[in-house]
Amino acid sequence: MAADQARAVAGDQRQLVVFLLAGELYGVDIHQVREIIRVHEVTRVPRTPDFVEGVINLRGSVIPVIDLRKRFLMPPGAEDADRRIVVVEMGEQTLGVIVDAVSEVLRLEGDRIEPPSPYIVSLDTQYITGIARLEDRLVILLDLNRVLHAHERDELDRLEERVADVDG
Amino acid sequence: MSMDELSAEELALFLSESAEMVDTMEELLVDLETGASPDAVAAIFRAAHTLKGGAATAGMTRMARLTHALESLLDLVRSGERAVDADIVDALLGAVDVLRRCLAAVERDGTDAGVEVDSLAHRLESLASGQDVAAAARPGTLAEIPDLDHLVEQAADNGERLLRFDVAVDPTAPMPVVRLYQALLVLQERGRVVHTEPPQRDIEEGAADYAQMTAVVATSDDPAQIVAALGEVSHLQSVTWEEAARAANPAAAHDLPASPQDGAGPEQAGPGTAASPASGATADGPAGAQAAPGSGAAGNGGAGNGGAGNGAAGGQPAAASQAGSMADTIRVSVKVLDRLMNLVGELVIDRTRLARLGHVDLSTQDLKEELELVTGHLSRITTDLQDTIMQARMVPLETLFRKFPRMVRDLARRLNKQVRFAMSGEDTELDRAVIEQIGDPLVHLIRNALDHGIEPPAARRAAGKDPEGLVQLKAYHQENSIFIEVSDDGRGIDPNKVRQVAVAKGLLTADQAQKLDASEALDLLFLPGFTTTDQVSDVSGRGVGLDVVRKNIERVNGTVTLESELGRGTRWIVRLPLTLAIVQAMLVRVHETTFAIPLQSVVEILRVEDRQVRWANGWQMIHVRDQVIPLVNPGDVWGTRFSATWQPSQANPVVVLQSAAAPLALAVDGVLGEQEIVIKNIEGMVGQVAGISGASILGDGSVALILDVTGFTKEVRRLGSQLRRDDRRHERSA
Repeated sequence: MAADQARAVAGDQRQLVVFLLAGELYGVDIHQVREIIRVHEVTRVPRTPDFVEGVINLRGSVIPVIDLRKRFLMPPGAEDADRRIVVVEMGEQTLGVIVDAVSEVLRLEGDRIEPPSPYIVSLDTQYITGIARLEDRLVILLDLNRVLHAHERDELDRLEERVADVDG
Repeated sequence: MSMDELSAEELALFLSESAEMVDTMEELLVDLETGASPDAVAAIFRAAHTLKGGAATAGMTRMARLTHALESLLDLVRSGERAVDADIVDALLGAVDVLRRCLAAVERDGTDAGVEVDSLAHRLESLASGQDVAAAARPGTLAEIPDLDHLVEQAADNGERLLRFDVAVDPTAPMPVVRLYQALLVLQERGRVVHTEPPQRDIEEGAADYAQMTAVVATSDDPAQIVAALGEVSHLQSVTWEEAARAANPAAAHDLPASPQDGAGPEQAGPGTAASPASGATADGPAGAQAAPGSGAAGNGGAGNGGAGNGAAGGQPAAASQAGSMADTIRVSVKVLDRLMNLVGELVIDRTRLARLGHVDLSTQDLKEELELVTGHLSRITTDLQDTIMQARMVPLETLFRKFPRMVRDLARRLNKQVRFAMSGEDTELDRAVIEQIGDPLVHLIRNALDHGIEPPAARRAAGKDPEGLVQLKAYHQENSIFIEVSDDGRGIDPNKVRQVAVAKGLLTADQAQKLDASEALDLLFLPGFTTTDQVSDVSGRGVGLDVVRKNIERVNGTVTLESELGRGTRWIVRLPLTLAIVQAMLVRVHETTFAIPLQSVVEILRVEDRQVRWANGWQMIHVRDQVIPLVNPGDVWGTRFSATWQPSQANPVVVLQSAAAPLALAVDGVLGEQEIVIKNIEGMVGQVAGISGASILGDGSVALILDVTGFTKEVRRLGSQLRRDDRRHERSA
């Protein structure tokens, strides 16, 4: 990830999968995206954070799916036909991410990417690696590792609470 | 004839025959000591002789040298000139271990040239000549180090000490020389390595299959810290150090339990090592939720030496286990393979029939009939395939149990206890993935029985018992499960003492402890960080243990419980599902979710009406025949999204579950029926929900969650006690 950023600054070309979430455009590095699928039946799992929608069957594997709107505490969106699950891979973890719609695959020069600024986007900058400025719009570059790792921290907290409960 | 002339088949034959001989020798040696078989000596002699002949023919000079020494000693024993004592058996068993090492080297490199046999051969020879000079057999004494005096002086000038470290690696670990290299790196970090035996370069290059190293280090660090740092290297069997200046005096500080002689088996390894070859293999076990790290050096924790207390790091029981090491290959009978072949042939026919349907014109009715025929056939074939494959995966417990007599023997000797070990049910079959997972836990329970259960002979005599203790390992098949019991006739466990310790450790309050009945109190032993022995023993670990034992067993959907009678003994009962990957399950619907409940936990399905429900003690209870069972709605535990709807004045479906503790009735919305399900891990983060052990994909592609009955029951009990606490609080405030 750090290497990716370094390359981006150096002016290399990058390919992003761009998707829509609550009216704004977000991009993730195409190398992290395994595939994009339609939203089908999600099985809820008890005792998971609110933003974990549940699990799905991805060709024989059972993977968790998170709702990015809920993850970022955005209001729930309409459950329309444009919604997609972006299946991303981070290390060992395969994860489905529900977005409002997937718009395009974007190729852009690294020097078009600016560092994140809290004045431009509403989202907590810790999840953002940069902002790509196009002619008429902005694409927010998401750091999915941080989105997930922040989640894992939550998970840990939850576990600790549980342990504390048992001890208490 | 050199080994170059051996064909691959001949080499394979030599290896398998020799391995069999070595196994036989080991079994007979353990028998020899217990006097179980009078002809043992002659049989061992024959085995050694056969081995020697084979090794010489195959050009394995080291093996031939060792078996020759072995044979000479055995000859004296056979003729009665030398009486069998524990020292001799130790040495002979040591030879068995080194022979195994030779065979491993031959299998890997085609030669045994890299294996060090001289010191052990010397020892056997000196035993034969009646002079036991074990100490002299130690490799590389310091006297051989060039310029020792000078080095000592130089170190002293620098404010350092010159220390000698002897490091031994579990010879059964993959690539022991790599571990030595890691140990060497640790030493280099802590000081100047001035001399090693074997030479440093050979270790770095992995020139041969070394499993031991002597290193002389000039350092200003505390030796205990260095030993602790070495404990981080996995698969180390023993580390000892001594001050090089005092080389003449071998009474050195032993921080890791060192084996008395170099050929000792891995089960003599102390708690400082956590060689766990089995853990690498969990990757293919669907329930192996922790398989993710997937590194070859799995289970590298357990290095709780020198009070460093980091033993739990690897999540494996801190017991080096020979038991866990199973090859990646499996023997399958040709009959099973033939059946598989036939079934696959049938599948091909079905494929052809299906493909044809696309090319011929058929009426809808005919098409329907043809399709029904083919799918009917297909489902029969796939069921058969599944059964046959499961059968092929079954391995008799014997493969695991076979190592235990030797382990018990060595351990009893180290603990100065007299122990008789009895096994039964070795032919019971289990899925190989389960067998791999339960090796370490069983080793732990057996060690526990010897270390904490069986009393020293004097204490037993004083208690009016046979000075020889009995440890039993029993496997049997009952209902849909395999039971494995480890029992001893030792001192038993005092529930009161368990309560006290748990309270002292702050695991629960004195009040809570008093409320537990005896069996619940004993169950506290499985809490993380619990240990009843006041001083930590180097055999059963340092408080790392029973919680990990339980966790490992639960990982394969098993349970472990114990019964104990003070002064009479303790019995550990491990219950395992027959198969790991596929279970028979009851599918139920709760709200929007389908749950699969392993059938072995389902007692019955009932229809319950309002009038049958009573309130007692904050619980809803139902009367089932003469039993009163708490009724739980999953929604009470998991929130409203998982609530079953209770229809008033109607018969509602209820599943009665049997867990280790007590029965529990689960309210559901509907029962969908019985089905075989394939257990899948839920990838990554949501995999660790209390009460859910995994997921399964149903025929329509949707996902069902597998209920972990033990975990769920625990959760219910936890919530229940919370509720009652709250109730009391309300009462007090009202």
